[in-house]
Amino acid sequence: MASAIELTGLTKHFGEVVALEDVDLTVEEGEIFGFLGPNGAGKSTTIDTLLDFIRPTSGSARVLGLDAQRDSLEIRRRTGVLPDAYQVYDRLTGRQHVQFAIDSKGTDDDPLALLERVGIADAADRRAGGYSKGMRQRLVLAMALVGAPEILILDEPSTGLDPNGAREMRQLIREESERGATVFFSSHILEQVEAICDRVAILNKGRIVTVDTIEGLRDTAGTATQLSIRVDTVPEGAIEAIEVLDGVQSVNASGTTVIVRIEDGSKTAILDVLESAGAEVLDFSTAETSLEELFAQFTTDSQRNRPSEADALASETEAEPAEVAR
Amino acid sequence: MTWAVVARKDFNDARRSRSLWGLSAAFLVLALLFAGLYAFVPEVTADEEMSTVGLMTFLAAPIALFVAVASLVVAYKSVAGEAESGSGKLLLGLPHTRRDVVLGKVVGRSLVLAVPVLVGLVAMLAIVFVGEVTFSAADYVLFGLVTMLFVLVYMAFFVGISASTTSTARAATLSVLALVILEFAWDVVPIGAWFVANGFVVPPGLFSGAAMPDWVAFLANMPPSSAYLNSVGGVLTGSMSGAGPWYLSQWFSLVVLAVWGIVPLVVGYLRYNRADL
Repeated sequence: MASAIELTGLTKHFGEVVALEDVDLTVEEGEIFGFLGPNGAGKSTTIDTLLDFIRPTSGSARVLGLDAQRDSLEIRRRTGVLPDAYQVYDRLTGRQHVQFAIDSKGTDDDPLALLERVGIADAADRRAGGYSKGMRQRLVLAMALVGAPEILILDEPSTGLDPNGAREMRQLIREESERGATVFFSSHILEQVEAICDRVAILNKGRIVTVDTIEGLRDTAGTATQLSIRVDTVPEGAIEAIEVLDGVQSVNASGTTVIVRIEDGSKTAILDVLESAGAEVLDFSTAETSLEELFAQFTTDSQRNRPSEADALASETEAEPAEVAR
Repeated sequence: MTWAVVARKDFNDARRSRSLWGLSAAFLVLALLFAGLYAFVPEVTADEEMSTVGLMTFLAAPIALFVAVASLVVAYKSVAGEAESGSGKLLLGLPHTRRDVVLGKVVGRSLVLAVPVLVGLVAMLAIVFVGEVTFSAADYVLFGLVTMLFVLVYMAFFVGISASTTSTARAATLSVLALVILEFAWDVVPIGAWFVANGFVVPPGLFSGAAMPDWVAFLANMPPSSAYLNSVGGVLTGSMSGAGPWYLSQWFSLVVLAVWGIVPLVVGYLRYNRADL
C-alpha cells in the first residue's frame, strides 16, 4: 500500500527564519491523521508545501506517491483542500463557490447536495461575503468534498465553528474516512484530534516531536509521574544534576518550583540531589500526567531535554511505525 | 488547461462589482459625449464631411486614455490581491496551474472592460445615425477589433505587473508608475534621448518638431497608446505600411502592441510561478 503522504527531510527556511527542519513523516492510505502543534509550529508551512503553495528549501514531499512540486496539478485533482487563512470571494454566492470547485475539477457533483452535507444549503444563493466565519468554513469544506477526493487536507478545520459545528465536522471526517479517503488535518487543540485520529504527529518549532497513536500517547502519559517540588531556592546546577538521573524524562524550574517528569526512577534520589545542593525542600507532590499535560510538555517553549524525551517516547510505542525526527 | 474556468469565475465575480457598473457608465457618457461633439459641433474637427473614419479618429485618443486608466483599476489587484487576501489559497487548492490563473485573469478581466467598451460603441451608433455621420460597418468593426486588442494588451500588461508581486500596495505603486510614464510623461523620453544623442546640445528642430529623425519617431511611437493610435490610423485608412521605414509602419505598431501585451505578462508569470504564496 502506497503512502498517502510522505515527507523526507523536509526543510523550509524563510530568510533567517527556520519554519521546518528536517521533517520526516509518513501518513498511510486510509488513515485519519492528526497534525498537532501550537500556532507557528510549522503546520501550515507543511500543508502549503504539500499543495505547492511554497517550495521546500530542501527535502521532498510526496502526496499519493506523486511529487508535490512536479505533479502538483495531479495531486490537487485528487485532493480536497481546506486551507488556512483563506478568504472567500465576497461577491460570489455559496453555490457559485462550489460550482467553481466542480468546474475546476471537472466533476458532476450537485452543488446543493454538497452544501446540504455541510449544513448551509439554505444560504446557497446568498453572497459568501455575508456569511459568518463558521459558514465560510463549512462552505470551503463543501468545496473540499467536491469529486470525492482520495485525500482530504484540512488546515485547522474547526476554526470558527461552535462546539456543535466542530462535532459535525468530526462526523463528516469520519464519513469521508469510511468512504476510503485519507484525512490529514491540523489543529492546535488536542481534544479536536484525540476523538477521531488513528495517529497523530506533534510538531513544535518546525520539528516533529513525536508520532504516535492516541493510545500510545495515553500510555506514555499514564506511565510517567509528575513530581512538583517546592524549594526555598533552586541551587545552581541542580537542574542539570537531576536531568541525568535514571528514569528522569524532563526537568523544569519555574520560580521556586521544580517540576520533574519521571518514569520509574527514585523520587528520593531527586530530593537528595536538591538537598545536597543546598536547597531546602518545603513541599512536594506527585501526579500522573494527563494527555493534555503531555501535549503541553511537548510543545512548551521552556521545555528542556526534549530529544531524550522523544527517544523515551519512541522506545515505548509498540504499535504502528512511529517516526521520530530530531 | 482550466484558464477558462478561472476566467469565468473572475468575470462572474467582477460582474457583481459596483466598479464595473461605474466603469460602464463612465465609458458610455464619455463615448456619447465625444460622438455628440463630433456629430453636432463641427468646429471640433476640420472634417468637411462627417464619416465613421473621422469619428473613430476623433474618438481614438480619449478611448486610449480611458482604457489605460480603466485597465489599471480593473487589473492591478487581480493576482497580487488573491495572493495577499488568501483567496489565492482557495484558487490554487483547486487543480489550476499558476499559468491557468494568470491567463484566466487576463481573459476574465479583459472581458470586464471589453463589455462596457462594446456597449459604448454600440450606443454611439444612435448618434451616428441621428447626426447623419456616414456609416461604414467595416470601419466600425475594424475599429472595434483593434480597440479590443488594445484592451487585451493593457489588461495583460497590468495583470503581468500584478503577478510580479504578492503585495497589493506594491502592485498599485508599480502600476501607477507605469501608467504615468507611458501615458503622461513619455514625451520627454524621445526628446531627452535625442538631446543626449546630440551631445547634450538642443538639436535643431526639437521644438519645431519638423525634422525628427526616424529613431526618435520610433521612440515616440513606443507607448501602447501611441501604437494603438497608429494602428487605428492604419486600419481605417487601409494603409498599414506608410512612407517611412518599416519600424514606423502601422503594422509594426501592432507588433509593438503585442510586445507590450506579452513581455510584461511573461515576466510577471515567471515571478509568480517561482513565488511562495
